[in-house]
Amino acid sequence: MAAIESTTRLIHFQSLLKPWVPTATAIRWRTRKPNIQRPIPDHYVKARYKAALQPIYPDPLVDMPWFKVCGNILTQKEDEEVGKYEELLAKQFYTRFADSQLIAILHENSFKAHEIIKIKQMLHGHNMQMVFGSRKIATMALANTEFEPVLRLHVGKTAYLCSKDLQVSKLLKFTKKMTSFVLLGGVVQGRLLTRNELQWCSTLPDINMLRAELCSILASSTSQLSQSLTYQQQQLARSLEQHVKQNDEISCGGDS
Amino acid sequence: MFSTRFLRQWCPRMLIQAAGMKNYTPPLDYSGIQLPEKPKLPYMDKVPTYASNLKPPKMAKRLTLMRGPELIHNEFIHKQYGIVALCGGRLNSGHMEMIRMTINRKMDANKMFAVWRIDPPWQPLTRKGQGKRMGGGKGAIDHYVTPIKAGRVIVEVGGKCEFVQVFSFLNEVAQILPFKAKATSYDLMEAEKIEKKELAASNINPYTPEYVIKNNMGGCHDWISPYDKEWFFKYV
Repeated sequence: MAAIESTTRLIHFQSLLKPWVPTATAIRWRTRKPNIQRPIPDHYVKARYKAALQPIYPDPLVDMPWFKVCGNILTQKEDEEVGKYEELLAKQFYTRFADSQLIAILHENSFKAHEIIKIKQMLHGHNMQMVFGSRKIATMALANTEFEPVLRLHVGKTAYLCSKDLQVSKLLKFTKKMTSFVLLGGVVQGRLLTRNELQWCSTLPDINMLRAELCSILASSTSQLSQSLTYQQQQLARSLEQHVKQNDEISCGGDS
Repeated sequence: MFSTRFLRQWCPRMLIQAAGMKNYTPPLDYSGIQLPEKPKLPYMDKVPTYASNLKPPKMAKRLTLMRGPELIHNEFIHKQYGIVALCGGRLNSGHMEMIRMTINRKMDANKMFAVWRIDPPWQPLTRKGQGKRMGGGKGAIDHYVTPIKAGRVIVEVGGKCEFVQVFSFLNEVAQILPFKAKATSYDLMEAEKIEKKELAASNINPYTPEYVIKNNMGGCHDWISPYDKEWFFKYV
């Protein structure tokens, strides 16, 4: 009997000792202060989230032309800086071109200073001037102007002989004396000519003479007409003059 | 013998010297800049002054003063150059003396001026005696500090000078500071803002921390901190 009572009491105790989930518990959570300068590594879940939320940027080479995707272009051409002094030189360059009627385009070989002094002495007083300029300055001066085709001849070091007079033969004579300069072509009254064409131009007569000839040709028909109309009167006047002269001679001879 | 064009094409790594025209750029215009009477950084008190009857109060650690981004003092007033903190931290009087001495010594007082953008140390830090056991109340005030948040401007330097002139000593100071900091200029900061916007716009990942947290994706509200709801994993 006592044995049965103790076993039932034991069973009651066991039922009390069964594992049970409490309704409320206290936990240690976020009690560690974060180290702002040396933060602890992220929890696995947070690290996964952060990895998935990393920004993704599109490939810059997608939808690019083939020459950009190629990757063989190692050096990028930098934009040339234009200084104020270069702008000034370009302006001067253009004004000299615009003022001249005749320009000889010369390839510049290396020369000594005493040669250029001689050249300047030779050109002095003939309304002629040597114009020097780099390709950059020539491009700045002449691009989008009437002299733009001249830039096609500006390959390497090029100099220009600008003349305000229209005397091609004199220009060619001077260019022949400049040994360090090679004639490439010329600009005559706004027209670009080759070297041979320039030489042909020098053989042409003076333009004023040609203009006079043209005027006379134009006036020739009218002058012919006027001549034919007044021919008879002129003949009469001439023969009367002759008579007068003869009479004078006879009277003078008779008197003496 | 060989033309430069030939050489440039076939030996691209070769440096070919060529004489060109020097481009003399006009000097910068500093007409709008006024230099103050006292251009150097003034001395900062190590201990704040209290009324004589007041016992200096002790203060809780308050790490929130160092946590997160600086929202107010994060831009340059003089719009020139300065040091910006990249991470939170504390500056004590020793650091401030270092900043003051280095900048005052190395700057050109005739052309530049420097200005503090932080308060002198005000937050009291307590320490117990060495080897003392736990208990017995809060320790005594040891020294004072200024808490700094990420993005705070520490010092500004301006005047009739360029960034290159100023960067040498500002960078020196920035490296010595107890938190990550950098010497920048106003223009660089503006450019960074623009770049940040462009990067954010070009991001093709539809899931950003902001979106995920705001929409409680994956039940992340179970484990994120309340600060993550404000800063979206950017700051601790």
